[in-house]
Amino acid sequence: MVSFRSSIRAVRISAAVLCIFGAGVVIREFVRLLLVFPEAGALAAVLELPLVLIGFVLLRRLRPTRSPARLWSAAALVWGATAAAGCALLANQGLAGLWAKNEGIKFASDWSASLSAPLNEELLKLCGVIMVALAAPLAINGPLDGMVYGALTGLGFQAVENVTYGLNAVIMSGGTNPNLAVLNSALLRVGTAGLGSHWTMTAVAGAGAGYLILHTRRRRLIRAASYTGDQGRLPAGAPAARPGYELLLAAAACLTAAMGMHLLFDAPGVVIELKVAVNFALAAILYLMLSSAFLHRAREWLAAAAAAGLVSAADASSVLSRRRRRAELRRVHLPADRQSLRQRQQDILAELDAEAA
Amino acid sequence: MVADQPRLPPGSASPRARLRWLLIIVGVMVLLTAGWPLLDAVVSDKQQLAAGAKLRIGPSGPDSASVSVGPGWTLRPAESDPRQGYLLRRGDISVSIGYVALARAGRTTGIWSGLQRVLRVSNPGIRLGRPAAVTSRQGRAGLTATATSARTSGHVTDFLGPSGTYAIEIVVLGPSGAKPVAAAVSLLLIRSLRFPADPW
Repeated sequence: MVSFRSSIRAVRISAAVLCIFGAGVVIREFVRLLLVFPEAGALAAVLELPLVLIGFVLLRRLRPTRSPARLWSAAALVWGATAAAGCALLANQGLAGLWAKNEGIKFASDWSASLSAPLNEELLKLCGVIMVALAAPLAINGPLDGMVYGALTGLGFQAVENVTYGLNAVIMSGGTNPNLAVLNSALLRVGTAGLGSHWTMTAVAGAGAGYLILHTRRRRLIRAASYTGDQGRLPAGAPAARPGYELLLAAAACLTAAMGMHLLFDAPGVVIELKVAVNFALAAILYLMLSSAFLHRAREWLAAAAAAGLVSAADASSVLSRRRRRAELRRVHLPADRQSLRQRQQDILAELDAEAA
Repeated sequence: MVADQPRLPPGSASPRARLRWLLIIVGVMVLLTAGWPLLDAVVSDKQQLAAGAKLRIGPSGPDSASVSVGPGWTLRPAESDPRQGYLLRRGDISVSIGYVALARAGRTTGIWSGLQRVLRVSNPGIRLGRPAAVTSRQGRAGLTATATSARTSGHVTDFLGPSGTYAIEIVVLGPSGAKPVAAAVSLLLIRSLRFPADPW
């Protein structure tokens, strides 16, 4: 019999091992280059720091009501930067080699990246979102949570990929001006392409992971209800006979869309500005749809909870907004009372997260 | 340390289901990370080139060059890209022909110092001899030098393209005993090198 504790530990240890492996692959691939061009390597890493720091803060803020846990947000970012990036290096080299050998070097030069990366990288990054859900069962309750964790995973991947592109640019420019090559690469990858790169693709794929999690939870509930005859715990609107395959379809659609966005991003003959605009717009539209639906359900749940006397009217009116929660806390002067209010706000939000997802 | 079991959302994965998902994730990762490279390894990375085959290198017409190879050469498709460079082999001799996009318009001597550092990345321990002037059949000036390491020896040559924004680098390496062969191959490739719109 496997306990909850040991299953969680197994997931976390596996994730750590995969991250160490991925980091090892990236380091092994570029260690010689870093030894010969240390200043370019340092510059490439430093240029990505603002992207990572600002991206981390902004993407966590995307979640309405409250940001996801800092620990698991960082875990998603690290997965993207290590496990996903390292494994993608090996997988892409293998598949790119197959394209070149079977379809010719001209075809491979044009299409190998756009046919290899969407498949390998989107799956490897998506694995990170699912790993977060397995390692922290409360972290992802639906597509919106999946989207935020996906965006963070994509951000980590994007930052490391940018560094590797910068280092490759040093080689492709013949080592003639390493720092300028890195700077030009970073300007293109962060300045021009940054808004529509990996974070948008994995955000969309991550929403799919959220749908998948909802599907599996619903399926388990239906199965449990069919054993016990207890239909009361089923989610509203869930047909008792079917586990709700529309969620599975939504998950597949999100992953397919993410791969399509990646294919477009790497495709030859399309201007980068158009690629960035399309990817950003798709991620933004999905986010607006999911967040407005989440907030609508959250308000409904709060209204019902307030009507039933489970939540006070003051809490119901303030708990959805970070600013209003802070204002409420500022009004309380005694530290013990403030702590108690903060705890109550967090309890309501935890309940609301699970219900509104 | 994992805290005691928290209150989980209804329908959350059981420990066994969690381990099943973990196996699926690890399986996907292993399949992609090891599967493609293994498949790639079993497919031959050799493409026979016809004698006199012309290889064009570079992103576009004006920013490109071409070289012709003699008989018996094979191309390594997995390491070749018409935009960036080719890896060729004949017996123990390997030839890499690379396109270098210069970050700013350069001179042959500036390119040479960069080339020395780049070679240390791909061939640690390699030492270049004193560069000597060399001229292509079209009359373009370049630099060439011997390259030696503990096990290999050969020749390294670079030419600045007519626009001054790119260069072509030819590295011929073989076992230490094959120095004369490497020198002959290098000379033939230099002679076959053609730049479009060459003012000379």
